[in-house]
Amino acid sequence: MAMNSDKQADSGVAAGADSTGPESMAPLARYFRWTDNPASIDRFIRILSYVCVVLFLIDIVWPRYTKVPGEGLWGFYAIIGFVFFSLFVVASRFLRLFTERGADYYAPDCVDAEEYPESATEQLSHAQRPNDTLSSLGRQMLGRDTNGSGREGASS
Amino acid sequence: MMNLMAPPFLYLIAALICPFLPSRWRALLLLGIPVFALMVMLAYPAGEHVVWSVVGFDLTFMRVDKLSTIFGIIFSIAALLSGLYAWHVRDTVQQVATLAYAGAAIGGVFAGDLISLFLWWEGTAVASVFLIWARRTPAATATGMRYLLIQVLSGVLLLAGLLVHYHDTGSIAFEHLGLVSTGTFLIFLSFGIKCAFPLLHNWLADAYPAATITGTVVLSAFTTKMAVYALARGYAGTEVLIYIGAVMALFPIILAVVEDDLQRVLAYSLNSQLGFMVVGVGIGSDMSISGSAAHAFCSVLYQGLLFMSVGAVVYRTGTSRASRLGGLYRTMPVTMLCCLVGAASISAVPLFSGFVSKSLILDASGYNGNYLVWLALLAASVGTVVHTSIKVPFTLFFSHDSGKRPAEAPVHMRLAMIIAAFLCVIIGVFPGLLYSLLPFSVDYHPYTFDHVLVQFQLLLFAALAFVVLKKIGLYPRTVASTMLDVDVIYRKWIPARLPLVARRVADLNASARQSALGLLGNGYGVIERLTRPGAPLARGWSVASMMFVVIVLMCAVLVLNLL
Repeated sequence: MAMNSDKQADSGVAAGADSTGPESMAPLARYFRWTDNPASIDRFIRILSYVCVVLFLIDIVWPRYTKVPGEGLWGFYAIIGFVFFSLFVVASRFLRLFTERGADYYAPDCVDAEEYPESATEQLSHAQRPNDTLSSLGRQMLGRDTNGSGREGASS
Repeated sequence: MMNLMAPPFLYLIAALICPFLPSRWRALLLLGIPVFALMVMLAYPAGEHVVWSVVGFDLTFMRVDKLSTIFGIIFSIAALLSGLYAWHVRDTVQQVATLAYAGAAIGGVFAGDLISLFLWWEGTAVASVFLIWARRTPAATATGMRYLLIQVLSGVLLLAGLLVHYHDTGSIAFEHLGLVSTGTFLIFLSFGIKCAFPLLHNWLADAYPAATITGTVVLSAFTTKMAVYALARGYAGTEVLIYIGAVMALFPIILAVVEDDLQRVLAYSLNSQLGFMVVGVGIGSDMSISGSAAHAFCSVLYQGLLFMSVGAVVYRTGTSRASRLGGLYRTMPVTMLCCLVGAASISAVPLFSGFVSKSLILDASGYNGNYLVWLALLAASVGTVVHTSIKVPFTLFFSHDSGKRPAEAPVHMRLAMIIAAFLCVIIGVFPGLLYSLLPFSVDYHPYTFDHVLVQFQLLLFAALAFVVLKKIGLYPRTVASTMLDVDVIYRKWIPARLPLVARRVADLNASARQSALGLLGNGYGVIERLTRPGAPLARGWSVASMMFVVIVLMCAVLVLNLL
């Protein structure tokens, strides 16, 4: 199954049910699997909304210390957070109409138009993951492990 | 000999001997030197040390006080973490450049005079460009050249400024300068370029994504923070900095939101964070200067952490394009958690480092009566949530499933990220540790109920806005594209218009020559007509007539003289 997901990764095809299975996941990642479940995301959004309502209500009953005029208004920070976030997003979408160009606009003098040199990376799939640990790193540092050769850039 | 034991020189000596060592020892040198140099640095008592007299000038290479020490400490930590992160790198060029660059940056913050500051200033420019060129692609070479030109321009302005300043005052001391003369204005401009002031900023977003994976992490730590230090030293309380900083904090946000390259998003984010520090310097109070120093300290850590996590993804997938990534939490959970800590820190979530440093600057601007600037910084804090805290982790690790299943980052990268994340949390939980390092003692308590409440209101309602905009489809989708910035002026518009301008100049030149030749031809014709046989100038004139003409001329001269 892991090999299957690697083939999907190589071909750039979106993963199907197999690649989201527990075998293709790191153990720690399983605590975050709920993010793939629409129902869990809806529950998360509901909780976020309730927390926001509670925070807004606290503002009404709790007289805050202020240092700037207007800061003490009910929900001042909540409104600032919501409104400015929306404003930035809308402004960016508007700006994009005028400032967006193709990825190769500055080619060939811009790295956007080229791939990162493959020789300077180590593009392993999850199935090919090396079994490197702190002790193996320690051994490399002490010179007792010869497998820790560097990859990025030319060595001299 | 003891002078050579000063931290900047230790780095330079290490850079010199580095190429002659075996590869493992070179990597170990990158870990050992920052630790050793930090111990040496902390052993220096406050005051001026390592003073060399060169052609009549006393150059001070170690001016130790609380302001320089806090920057020296964070630069050492950054050098150590980037050395660990780059453990796999065996490229001598990058290793030498990293050591020389870190040494030059540390030299810059301990420089006690403008001449030694200039030397280190140029040192950072020359050393750091090799971290871009080490990518060894034509585009990286071109980008590195643009970066070098701008950095050297900053150095030339600093040199010109210091010469004019020396001519005016007879002093090369690097103390408070203020915007009082041409010399100090030139120095201010030089600092402004390295600090990425608005309109002078584009080198940052252009060059940082072009460096190598590890080079980007190194670059993010030093140059800009050294410039913040230089501003704090030379221009604290300069009012114009407040407004420059406010604009700086705000304008990169809009560019970052729709940017596809996540390393460039982080570069814009770094630029925005610098705006907070510049505002703090501009206000000039003890609290705000300390806030700037604290924010610089925290920013090196969380910004480095974010660059490291994106770099780890590039190392495993070969790209930092948001449009090609997504769903990586499945196989890179440690990188994801570290990225989330960096995101929480930069957006100033309570218990993370940004919360205890950013609020110092915000409160200082509020107390100072700069209400609009305070509001701008508040808006910029929300902007940080938009373009970094949500966008980077969401598009990398969650969002749609790109189908990529890369292996987790190598253990040394994970270790460097975990240490950086740990420091972000430790500073957030125990702010007193950071506050004890600040240049001025501050009696500030970030963890009041009011402060925590308003911060959660700000952040969670911003998150709610994200959810709402995402639901209604207004949140922008990232696509492979280039967003124009001010560099379009010198990268596209001027080169595109240059042939036209050159043709116009050539046409103007040709018509001017034609006109001049025409005038000369006409003049020659007149002379020729006057001097041909029988013409007035060729005729024989009587002596009486000549005398008459001479007398008339002399009378005219006499009259003119009397007038």
